[in-house]
Amino acid sequence: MKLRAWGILAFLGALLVGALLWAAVAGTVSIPLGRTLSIIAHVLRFGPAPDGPTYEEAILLAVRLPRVCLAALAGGGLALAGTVMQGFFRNPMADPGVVGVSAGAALGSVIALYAGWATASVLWLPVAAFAGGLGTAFLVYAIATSHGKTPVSTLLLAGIAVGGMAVSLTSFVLSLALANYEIGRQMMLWLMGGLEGRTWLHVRLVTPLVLGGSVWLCFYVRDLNVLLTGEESALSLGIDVPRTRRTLLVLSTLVTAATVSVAGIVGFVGLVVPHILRLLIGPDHRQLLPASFLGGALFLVLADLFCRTLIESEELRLGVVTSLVGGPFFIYLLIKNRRGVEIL
Amino acid sequence: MNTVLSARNLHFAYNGRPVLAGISFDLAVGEFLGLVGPNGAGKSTLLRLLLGILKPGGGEARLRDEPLGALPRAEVARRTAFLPQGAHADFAFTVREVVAMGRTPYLGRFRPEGPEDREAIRRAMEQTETAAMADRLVTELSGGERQRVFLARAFAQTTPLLLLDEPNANLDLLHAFQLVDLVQGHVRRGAAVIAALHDLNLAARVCDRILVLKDGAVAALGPPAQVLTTALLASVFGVKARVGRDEEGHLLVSVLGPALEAPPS
Repeated sequence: MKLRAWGILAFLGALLVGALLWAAVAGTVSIPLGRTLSIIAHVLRFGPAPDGPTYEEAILLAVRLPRVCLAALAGGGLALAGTVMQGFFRNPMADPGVVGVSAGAALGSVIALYAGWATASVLWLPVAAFAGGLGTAFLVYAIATSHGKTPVSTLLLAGIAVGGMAVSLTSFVLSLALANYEIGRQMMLWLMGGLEGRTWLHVRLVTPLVLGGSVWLCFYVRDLNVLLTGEESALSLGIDVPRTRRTLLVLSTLVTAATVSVAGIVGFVGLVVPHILRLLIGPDHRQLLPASFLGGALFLVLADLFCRTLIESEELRLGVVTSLVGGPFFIYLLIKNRRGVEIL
Repeated sequence: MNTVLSARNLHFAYNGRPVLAGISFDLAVGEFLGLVGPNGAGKSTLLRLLLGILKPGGGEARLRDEPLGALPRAEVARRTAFLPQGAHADFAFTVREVVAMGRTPYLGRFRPEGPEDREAIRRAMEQTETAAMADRLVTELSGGERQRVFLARAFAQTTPLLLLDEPNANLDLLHAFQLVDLVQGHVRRGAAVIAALHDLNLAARVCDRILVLKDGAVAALGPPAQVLTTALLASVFGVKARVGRDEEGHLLVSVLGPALEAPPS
């Protein structure tokens, strides 16, 4: 059982490396694998300066690699945060957006676009989205908390209510902006999720949050396992449940908000990836959390590759692809394995 | 005196409504204390106070002469194990994984299981006869088997004190008997046990002493034969009952019907 889980983990890691290379090679301009590797080796100061056209180097280093890295980070972060949320809420339906992060991030981003901040600096959009996501999550948390306790059902319901309000406000700002075609278009594109035009600046912005948060969450694998057996059961095993819950919620919210801030709304990654992996390797978070990160990264790198190679414009959006691939697959899992999906 | 736990004048109120008032008792090494009383008498609340999950409004509980309230959660968990009424098993962990969770209070964030932990897990599975199903999923077990697995998890905690909340609530006769038998084995090995029990005959059979709760106060505390009397059954449970002995000399409580006079409230 354990051996199998570690085997799957290693397999996922190998697949991810393969997918990353493929995504670096493929695109509008295809760069041969050998040349891709030598360019990367040169940048990392392992190899000599590669020969060949310099535009390939520019495309790879300035356009393609940051995008591929972001896809991996965002996918990994979303899937890992989804796994944590599902364990935390002991509810297989929980996804990273459950406490209103995605809805709040969407609101923050449309406000940034509408107010014109986004034109001032490329950083404003992710920062506003991050602030919106985090602000909403803490509002939800504050509403649901009384006397130092945060009942799970109240938290979920508050998330639905505040999230719904944020979605309405987003629609309102969107309709205000529709008069200005370009701004309205940008908003719509952001809301559909996507990674085009992202730079190393974006990578630098979210890497500490996504990677740091994910690694930190991995320190809580044992607590997550025990929490699955119930609150009193966890308390009796010495877990400080309220404090652990708070930490898990804050960290997974941070990770989610950071990914949404650069990738926009990308659905189903945090839902479908943890479910597939839970069926494959079981509920033990010691393997499940790292596997989710790898699996989510793999999924989003491939989805983004699909987006930019199938249609060479912006028409196929990342969020659309993940939902169109993730949705049917999720339904297939539901039908094929009715019991398995119920079981966390 | 080998006192594992002493409760001194414990009080607890929930939303201003008193649930427990002035509970005091001592528990010795190797003692099996039964907690009985009608629904709502405060049995579950008392167990949660003794676990430190709830904080008393007054009085204190001491674990081996240290006030419970001053101990960190993990330290409490190294001294007291708990078998909740219906531990959740809607997740596909293996039996061994669940039992291994009993070592949580001994493991740091980064320390993996050591030989000592593995030995405790192995022994707990052996004592509960769950070793044969180590690799099965808890979701596939029957209710009785699952309860035994969670008992094994509590044993793996290697605590001097074990608390059980209605361990037999949903078990059939055979599994209920087996479970209590395993708990008695634990007592014989020197653990102290407090169990909230519904079945008075079972309580009379296995407990060294019985603590009867009524409306949040101790109505009686002592050996089963002294405590379980017709008068007490009428005043605490509101039933007319006959208390006799079976052929083997065990106390036998037969409930005949509601008590004739209304119990004093």
